[in-house]
Amino acid sequence: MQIVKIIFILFFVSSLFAGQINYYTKGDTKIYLIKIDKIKRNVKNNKLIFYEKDNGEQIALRDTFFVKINTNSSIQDILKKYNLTLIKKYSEYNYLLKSDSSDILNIINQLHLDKNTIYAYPNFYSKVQQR
Amino acid sequence: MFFALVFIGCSDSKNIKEEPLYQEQWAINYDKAFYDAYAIDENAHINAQNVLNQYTGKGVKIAVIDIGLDVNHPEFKNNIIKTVNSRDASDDVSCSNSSSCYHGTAVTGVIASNINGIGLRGIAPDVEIVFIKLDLGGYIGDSEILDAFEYAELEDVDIVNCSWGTGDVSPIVEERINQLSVSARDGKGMIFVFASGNESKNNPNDESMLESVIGVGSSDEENLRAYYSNFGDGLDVVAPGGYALGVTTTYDSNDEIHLSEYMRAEDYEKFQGTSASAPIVTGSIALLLEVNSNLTRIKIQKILRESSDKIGNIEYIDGKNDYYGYGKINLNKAISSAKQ
Repeated sequence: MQIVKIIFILFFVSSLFAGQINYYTKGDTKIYLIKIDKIKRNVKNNKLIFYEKDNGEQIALRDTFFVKINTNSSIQDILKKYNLTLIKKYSEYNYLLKSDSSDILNIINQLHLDKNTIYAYPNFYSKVQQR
Repeated sequence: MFFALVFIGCSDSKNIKEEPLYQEQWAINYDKAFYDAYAIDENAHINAQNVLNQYTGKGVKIAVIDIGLDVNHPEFKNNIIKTVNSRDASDDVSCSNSSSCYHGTAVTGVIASNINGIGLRGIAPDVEIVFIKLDLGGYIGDSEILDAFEYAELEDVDIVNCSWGTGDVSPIVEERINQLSVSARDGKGMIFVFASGNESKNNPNDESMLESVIGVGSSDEENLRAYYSNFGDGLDVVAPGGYALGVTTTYDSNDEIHLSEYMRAEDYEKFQGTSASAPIVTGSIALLLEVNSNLTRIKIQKILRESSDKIGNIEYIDGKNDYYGYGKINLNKAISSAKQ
């Protein structure tokens, strides 16, 4: 476990120097990720790009993410501003959006800080096990 | 031979007695001969016998979200009113390329196996089942989980059984569960039942630990928390999940390797874990709703918590602890509360 932590820190420091800090925000906490050299396609043939959390868990991202907008904000304005596509509306304020950007986490983080949103969050693909 | 002689049924109910495997359904049936043969604590069951004689879950609709289903299984094929594959919206919920394909069939069997004299007794054999396939074991997006919930909502189900979990629920999935658990069922709230997991760890960010969810851990044959059962502040109750014995249930009838249509309690490949405990609670809730269809999700949760038996040797503070939640469900007591 200690070795895993050290490896993660080394990866994290090296990614700092490389100018690639990958993270997302859950609540008020930034959760850092290491991009790993693994790309797969899921059953729907969507390209999944893999990251690793500091606990070693692998999660994947594709080109979609969730956003919750403020009550007085317009989803159309957000789509236009960030060049996004609306995939699905879950409720008046919750949406699944798509970006063509090669740096999806950066888009999500920008949106998360946008005053028109309550949060933006990755549409993570994780291994969900039966129990 | 010894067991064949010992296991002569002695159930109270005429109907249930005719199910050949009912005797070994130790989670819901106290059969002294079986209990003695396997040294099962006499209180390891959920006190269901009197209730099962009276209620069958009629009029209640349950969504089972799982890896796949044998839709032609003779124990519950007549209960299935809809199947949906959350991947492509088709009605194909078959499963292949996984060693766990049986899982959805096993979960459904615990809930809905019919009183038909051929095998076992589900807790709620007259419920209607909406089966929603999720590709468990593979990489699943939160959007797919939301789609599965949406299908459940469209079918206006009362209860959703999830014998799986992510361990790290995303904000939007949490929000959706919270919303449905209040607004669905005409404001009475959809009842989500999640298994807590089998890694013997605190699992604070799991779906099963949400306040709006009924989080279910496992108890064993000694009437204690099963060693593998995940725990945490949000755990509601435990129900039998087994240790040396499994929970007798159905197995895919078209499997070329496992030739039996059942998973027996004493099989090497047994149905054990919080995945088995969750449908016991789901089926029990169906009986509560049959008794009183006006019960809200909050009221159901309150009944389960207050009627559960405080088993184990860990102190319950304000009625609960992190390892047993509010205790092991007691169906007989819960039904009495639901009538009031």
